[in-house]
Parts: sequence; structure tokens; C-alpha cells
Amino acid sequence: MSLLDVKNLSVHFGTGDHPFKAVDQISLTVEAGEVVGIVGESGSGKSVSSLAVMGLIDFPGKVTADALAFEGQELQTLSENDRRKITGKDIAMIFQEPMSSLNPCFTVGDQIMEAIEVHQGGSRKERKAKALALLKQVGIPAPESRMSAYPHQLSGGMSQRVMIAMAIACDPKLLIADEPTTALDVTIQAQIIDLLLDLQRQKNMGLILITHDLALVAEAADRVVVMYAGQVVETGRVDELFRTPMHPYTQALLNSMPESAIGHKRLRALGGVVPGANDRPTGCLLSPRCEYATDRCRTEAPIPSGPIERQVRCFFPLSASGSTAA
Amino acid sequence: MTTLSKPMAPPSPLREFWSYFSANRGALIGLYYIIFLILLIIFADVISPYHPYEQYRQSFLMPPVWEAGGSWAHILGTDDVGRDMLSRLIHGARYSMLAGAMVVTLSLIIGIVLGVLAGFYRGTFEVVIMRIADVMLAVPSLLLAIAVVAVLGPSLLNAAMAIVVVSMPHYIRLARASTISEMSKDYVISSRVAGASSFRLMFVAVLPNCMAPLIVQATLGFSNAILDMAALGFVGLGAQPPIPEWGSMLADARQFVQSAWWVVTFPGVMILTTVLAFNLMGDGLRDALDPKLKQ
Amino acid sequence: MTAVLQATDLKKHYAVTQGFLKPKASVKALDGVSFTLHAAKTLAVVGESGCGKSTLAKLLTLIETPTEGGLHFDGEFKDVHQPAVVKSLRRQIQIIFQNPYGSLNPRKKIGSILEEPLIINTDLSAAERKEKALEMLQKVGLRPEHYSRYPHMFSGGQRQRIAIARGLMLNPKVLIADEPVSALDVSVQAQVLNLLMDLQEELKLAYIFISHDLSIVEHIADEVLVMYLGKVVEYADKETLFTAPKHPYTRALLSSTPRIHPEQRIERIQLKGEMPSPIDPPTGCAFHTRCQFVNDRCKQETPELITTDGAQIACHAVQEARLPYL
Ligand SMILES: Nc1ncnc2c1ncn2[C@@H]1O[C@H](COP(=O)(O)OP(=O)(O)OP(=O)(O)O)[C@@H](O)[C@H]1O
Ligand SMILES: Nc1ncnc2c1ncn2[C@@H]1O[C@H](COP(=O)(O)OP(=O)(O)OP(=O)(O)O)[C@@H](O)[C@H]1O
Ligand code: SF4
Ligand code: SF4
Ligand SMILES: [Mg+2]
Ligand SMILES: [Mg+2]
Repeated sequence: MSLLDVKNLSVHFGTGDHPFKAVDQISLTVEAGEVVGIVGESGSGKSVSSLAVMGLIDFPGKVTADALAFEGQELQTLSENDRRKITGKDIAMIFQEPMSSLNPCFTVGDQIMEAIEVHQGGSRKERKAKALALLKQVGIPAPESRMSAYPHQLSGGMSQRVMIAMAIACDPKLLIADEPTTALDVTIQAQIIDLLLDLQRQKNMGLILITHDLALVAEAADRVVVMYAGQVVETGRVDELFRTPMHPYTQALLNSMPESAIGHKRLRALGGVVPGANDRPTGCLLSPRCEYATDRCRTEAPIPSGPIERQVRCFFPLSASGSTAA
Repeated sequence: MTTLSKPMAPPSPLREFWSYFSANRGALIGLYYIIFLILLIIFADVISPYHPYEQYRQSFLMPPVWEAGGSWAHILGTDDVGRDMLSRLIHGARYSMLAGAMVVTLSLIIGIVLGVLAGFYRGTFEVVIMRIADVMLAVPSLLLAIAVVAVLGPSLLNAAMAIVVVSMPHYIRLARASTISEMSKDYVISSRVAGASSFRLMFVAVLPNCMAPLIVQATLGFSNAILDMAALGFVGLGAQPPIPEWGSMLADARQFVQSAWWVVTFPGVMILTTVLAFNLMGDGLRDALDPKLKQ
Repeated sequence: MTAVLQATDLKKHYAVTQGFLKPKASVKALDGVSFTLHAAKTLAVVGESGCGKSTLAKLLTLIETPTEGGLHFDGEFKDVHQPAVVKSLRRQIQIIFQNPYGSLNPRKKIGSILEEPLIINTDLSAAERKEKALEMLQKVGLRPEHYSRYPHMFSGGQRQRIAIARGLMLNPKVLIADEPVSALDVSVQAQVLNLLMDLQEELKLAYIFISHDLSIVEHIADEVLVMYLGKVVEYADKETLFTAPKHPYTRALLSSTPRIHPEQRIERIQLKGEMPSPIDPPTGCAFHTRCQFVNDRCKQETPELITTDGAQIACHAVQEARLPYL
């Protein structure tokens, strides 16, 4: 039994005659102790899918799924209250903007203690001790004095540490980190990622790491899910997927990184942008940007195929040599 | 490949604005009512059945046509000296609306200039301007207006001036706050790098981006101006008789509240509906301009 | 090779109030930076947030006047305190910014955004200005019909192209790019970087490229200036810096940059803590609070920038040859 098991999750926005699938039939599993990276360009549906798992999509968004199970327990059939008990305690989430995710009116200590109170209760003294321990655990220097600090008095890196402290306050089994380091310097990013991975290993948590930085995922994750325009286009183990990408999109993303162009002057850019609500093409969603696209791609939409541990959504998956098999 | 080809139909900003605005029923009603008032003002001389000052000795305090004793000659009745109510109301719209327009234009312009300057040249200049504005905001506006008129002497023009003075601080504060937040944006810096003068920066680059909240405030300010005008008229410090300004019409007719309800009610209703129309439109404007602000 | 722009010992100290009735403190945002920039070359400036990169950009674009130090342009000394000099230099040194959403005036059409520099600085007729703007649009890969659209109708990458076009309207010799691609997706980032490189070749532009992403710097730069707390810690040409980073801070930055391919990763040097506040910088070597090679001398004596093996480096340990990796 997987920790998280999502089958064919879709999220629709928009009205009757203009439905917009922000997330389109994605499937995803996370095991305990596993780090799964979700990558993709801006607007590919990474955040919306994680919010859907947390049950945080508000009206008018509509969530449907064949299965959305946490430790075998189907979440969709639970009452709002029961679901919140699970999503608040066993699944935790941290966001990109640490500064705006903290309430500016309360001290760091108060906010952590509140997170503890909601799910674990305990006397004020116990909670305070626990909050202190948490701050120590996430590597905040002089935690005693930081307890009474307000969020604006902290740097970006420190606020993200506080967010992590709040997220792990209830010993979650699954942590979803949505671009946790995008706003930070590389040196601080390295610290935060190391901290997350340490905690994940110590507590044997499942970790979903959402980012648009492929290199970061390559260093931190065990498995990768590549998303494009709301769909999962490729999944696989990190080393395989980055060494021999099978989907043209994954290949194009990798090619456009400066790292892949060492010795060449020009980068191999992928033209165009992710289609938005009004300009989704028919057939394969990548077809207008794909260098391998054929007429079939422009009329017919591919579905994921291949072994469960290495799925590719493309009619002509790339072979190891980097060209299409067909 | 360096050419990005993504055709998209550009919705003009005006059309986008209209689609938001027209989705708001209240705002539309407000707008139509205001257009109706503007037409009234323009064609007042043509539409109104009588001259507003002309007295009909045979009919003092004649009730409106649907009451017993009313007549089609004076549809909304006559006042205590026999002037036609309808004609007076129609001409009254001129004074109220013109006073409102004048007050808003003047206070908007002065407020913008002072506010933008304060936001642009921070420091002592800003502190002085803002403290004066704060002090003015701390005094109840009507009281302040009364004080100003008391100094200048009662008249329609002086009352308008007084209202300009009391409503200016709002615009100053708004303009300054928006200027400060816009000044930190990169496009302002790129204008500076391009060598733009301070004047150009303030009024060509920054000001158009600060206009949305100011326009909303101006619409709401219009209704405030009409109300304040009426209030000054009512206490006898605004328009002087026989000018048919709605507030002073109300004041003149005070003693007939019991006996001839129409003399008091109609000017009151006009003030109420006009103020309401402006407020509705202001709310609609705020909603319609806001999504663009967030952009 | 001619030097287009030469900075000598640039300093910028800001006076800041620390609170009511407290004495004013001085922030040394930039504290003695020198470099030489050649035509058609790119000098990259790297360092963590708050190290003074943007302050340097502001000094070079003459938005702010330096507290100390001077500029040579085309080999001539320029007195930046004279308005006439400033005006003439402005045409030569232009800037583009990181945030493609904030750097274009939302209420102006692309046409007037592009033409503003011409209106201010030249007396071309409206028709001539329009012709130039259209020409420039084409040069940066946009189409003539974009001339009369508003910024919000463009994607991030397209806006960055517009910003570049605007920067080039006055035919400057130097273009300063303050994190020009940090807000963009990898695919779009590659498009913009390619454009920048093409323009450099065509127009012989010199770039000052401010970035915190070393993999991009490695691709685009000819020389690299590494800054820490307002000071240069290492200044070397790209090959030297990336093949043999010497300063411990450069090395830490490099090792914190995530890499897709394991063979490109170097042993991680985890930096402790964060960059100290420039209000109250550490004594001696500013980096000593986080450096693993610190000794007593480092804490007292500020290291000078000394040329060692083709690179300028400010570190005692390099001079004393006591770094294990060299
Ligand atoms: N509340 C909403 N209503 C309508 N559309 C939405 C809503 N939230 C997100 N979307 C759309 O869904 C799509 C996916 O958005 P999402 O935020 O998941 O992207 P993302 O992959 O997280 O991108 P980023 O890297 O920019 O965070 C986008 O096209 C977005 O515009
Ligand atoms: N006008 C100012 N007044 C006071 N301090 C300032 C001012 N401008 C910048 N500083 C300070 O100078 C230091 C350098 O700022 P700068 O903006 O140059 O950093 P940066 O390297 O560009 O950082 P980032 O990567 O975050 O853009 C910072 O500590 C900043 O707080
Ligand atoms: S299905 Fe066709 S268009 Fe889509 S990714 Fe595969 S080759 Fe490209
Ligand atoms: S001088 Fe000392 S503290 Fe500074 S970088 Fe070198 S070894 Fe580290
Ligand atoms: Mg997101
Ligand atoms: Mg900066």
C-alpha cells in the first residue's frame, strides 16, 4: 500500500462553455520515505494538483479523481471534517513565498504553537517546549530569542525554516513542498534542501518536491514526474529519466539548460510557451512546440504508455540515442 | 528560433473595463441616472415648464397633480411663493452638479499635484504636506467647511471653495501613497535611466498608473460634494435665495414639513438619488478598475 | 582590445536611520569595486542577495552617484557629478531588469515604451521614431503588430524581449542586465539568453550580467566578478573561475549550484548561516563568519585583492597556500 495513491486526478476551472482543465488525469504514487519531484514550466499545473490533493481547491474549481487515497483511506468520500484531520496532521505543505505564508501579526513562536495546538493540544508550557525544539531542529540559531520575533524580522531563508518547523510540527507522513527554495539564494537553497532531506530521512516521510528547477530535482529526488499543460508526460527514476529522457518535452527542457550546451555558443531553446486556458491545441498538447510532431500528433491525443515505473505520454517515445523510435 | 509566434486577439483596455463595469447592475443604474441628470442640465431651459424664479400668485403651495387640489399646470406643485417645483428641481440639478464637478476637479487637480510631489520628493516637503493634510482630516469636514465659509462669506462659490479645501486631503493621501508604491517599480527606474526629467517621471510615467484609485475616490467625492453643498445650503451658508440649489430649497421649506410635504420631499429625494447614483457608480468603478491594478 | 567601461574603487554608502533617536548608521552597500569591461564581452557579477549587485548597477547607470570612486568610458575619465556628463553617458549605458512584469509601464503601449528614450534624448520625428521602434521589435523577435499592444498582453519571455528592445533604442555600448532571466522558465530563459548573445555579436555590445545562477553565468560570461558584502572576493576569466575556483566563497557558491549530471557536481561545501548585515559587517575578512578555513588572521586583517595565477582573489588562505583543494 502506497502512502499516497492518486489515480486520474483532474481539476477543472472555468464555466460551462469554457471549461479549462488545469490538471488533466494525472496519476501519482508516493511511498513512505520516498522523494518525488514534480517538474514542469510555469502554468503546467504543479501547484493546482498539490492543492487538489490537500483538498484546498475552492469554488469554482472542480476536482474529480478515480482514486485519491492516503494510506489506503479514500479521501474523497470523507466528510470535510474528517478529511481535514488527515490533511492537516498527516499531510503538510510548504509554499514558495515564505514571507507571505506567515501571518505578519503574530510572533513566530505563537504561530508554531498554534499549529501544534490544533492537532495535538497540550498545555501551553508543553507546546512552548515543543516549538523551541522544532526551531532547533530546523537549524535556527538562538531559537529562544527567535520565538518572539515577528515574520518581517526574519530573512527569507529563516522564514522558510519557520514554515518547515510548522509543517513538521505534527509529524506528518507526507510533506508537499511547492517551490520551497525558488525565492532563495543558491547557498540558502542548498541549506534548506539538505534540511528537508535530513528530516525526510529521519522521519521516513514521503516528500513531494515541486519545482521548475530540473537540476534541483536531479540532485534531491528519487523519482520524477514531468508535467506539461496539466498532464503528466513522463515519469521515471531520476537517473534514468535525466540520462535518457523518452518524452520530447523532457528532452527539450534538458536541452535548453545551459548545462547541456557546454562547448556550444547557442542554447537549444524550446520555442513558444505553455498553452493557457484559451489556446490549448487539439491532439498532443505539445504538438505546436514539438520538433518530432507528425499529423497524427496534431489530431489525436496520446495516452500514457509503458511500464508503470516508466510511463511516457507520446506516440513516438525517444530511444536512448535521443531520436524518436518510429 | 527567435521569432515567437503566438497570435492573440488583444482586448482593448477600454472594452475590458466596460465588460467588468457593465456586469455590475447597480453601477449601470447609477451611470444611467447620472447621464439622465447631465441631459437635464444641458436641456434645463428647454424641458422645464417655467422659469425657476417666476412666481404664480394664484397658486401658493399647490400640491402635486395626484393630490387633491393639484393641477397639471404644476405637476410637482409649487412652493411657498408660488414657484414651479419641477422647474426649480431641474435647474437645481445644474447648481448641484456644477458645484460637484467644480469641487471634484479642483480638489483632484490640487490633490494630485501635491500628493505626487510629496510622494516623489520625500523628506521635509512630504512631512509638511502630510501633517497639514492630517490636521485637516482630524477636524470634522462640515465644521471645517462652515469655518471656511464663515471667513469667506456665504455664497455658492465660497461654499464650493470650502468643500474643495476639506476634500483635498483625501486626494493628497491617495495620490502620495500610490506614487510611492509606483516609484519603486522597475519601469520608473528604466525611465530614469533613459534620462526622463522629474516632471516626465511624475506626470507621464507614474501618474497614469495611480489614476484608478483616484478616479474611484473622485466619483465618491462627487456625491460627498453634493451632500456637503446641500448641508451648507441648508444652514444658509451656501447658495443664497432665490437660487434653486437643492440644499437651500430644503432649508427654505423647513417650516412646511407638516403642511406641504412636497416642498421638502422632492429636493430631498433628488439629493438622495443623486448621491446614491454616484456611490453606486463609484463602487462599480472600483471593482472594474481593480483587476487591472492587480495585473 | 579597448576597454569600454572601467570602474575604479566604486563605493556607495547609504545613511540609514535605525529608529527613533538612534544615530544614523552607514550601510556599505558597495565597498570598493573595480573592473574593466571590453567591447563585445560579458562581465558577470555574482553573489548572494544583498551583496550589492543592484547597487553596482545603479551606480553604473548613473541613477545614483558613487560615494567614492570613478568611471572611465571609452578610455576617458567621466565626472559623474556633472549633469551634462551624466546625460551623455546615459545614452551609452542602458539597463534591463529581472521582473518582466514590473519593468514595463502597464499603461503605455509597447510603441510608446520603446520610443520614450528617443523622445527624451533625440529630436527624431514621430515617423522616424516609429520606424526605429518597429525595426527594433523585429530585431528582438517580435512582430510589428505588437507595436500597439499593452504589456499585460505578453508572456514573461516576450516582455523581457520588449525590455531588451527598449534598452537598445539609443544604441548603447553597454547593457546592464540585472538578473534578466531569473523569473523565466528554462525554455524561455534559453530563448532570451540566445537573443542576448545574438545581439551582442551583431551590435558589439558589452554586457554586465548580474545573476545568481552560476550555470547561466558559465554559459554567457567572459569574465566573472564574485561579490560578498559589497566587496569583490574573486575576479577572474570564466575558464579559470569555473575550472579552478579558488576563493572559498566562490567554491561554496559553485558547489551549491544544482547540476543535472552527477559528473558535473563538485563536493558540496555547506555554508553555515547567512550573509551578515552590511550595517555591521564582520571585522577582518567579511566572509570569516561562514568560512571553514578561517583562522585568527582572517578575523582581524582584511585580505587585499591580489592577483594569483591569473585571478584576483581576496583571501589569506590562498596567499598562505593552505587550502586543501588547491
Ligand atoms: N483558481 C484558479 N482559477 C482558474 N485558473 C487557475 C486557478 N488556479 C490556477 N489556474 C490555472 O491553472 C493552470 C496551472 O496553474 P498552476 O499554478 O498549477 O501552475 P504551476 O505549474 O504551479 O506554475 P508555477 O510554476 O508558475 O507555480 C494555470 O494555467 C493557471 O492559470
Ligand atoms: N537606498 C538604500 N538605502 C539603504 N540601504 C540600501 C539602499 N539600497 C540598497 N541598500 C542595501 O544595500 C545592500 C545591497 O543591496 P543590493 O540591492 O545592491 O543587493 P543585491 O545584491 O542586488 O541583492 P538581490 O540579489 O537581492 O537583488 C543591501 O543590504 C540593501 O539593504
Ligand atoms: S505525441 Fe507527437 S507531438 Fe506529442 S510529444 Fe510525442 S512526438 Fe511530440
Ligand atoms: S580570508 Fe580567511 S575567512 Fe576569508 S575567505 Fe580566506 S580563509 Fe576564509
Ligand atoms: Mg506553482
Ligand atoms: Mg538586486
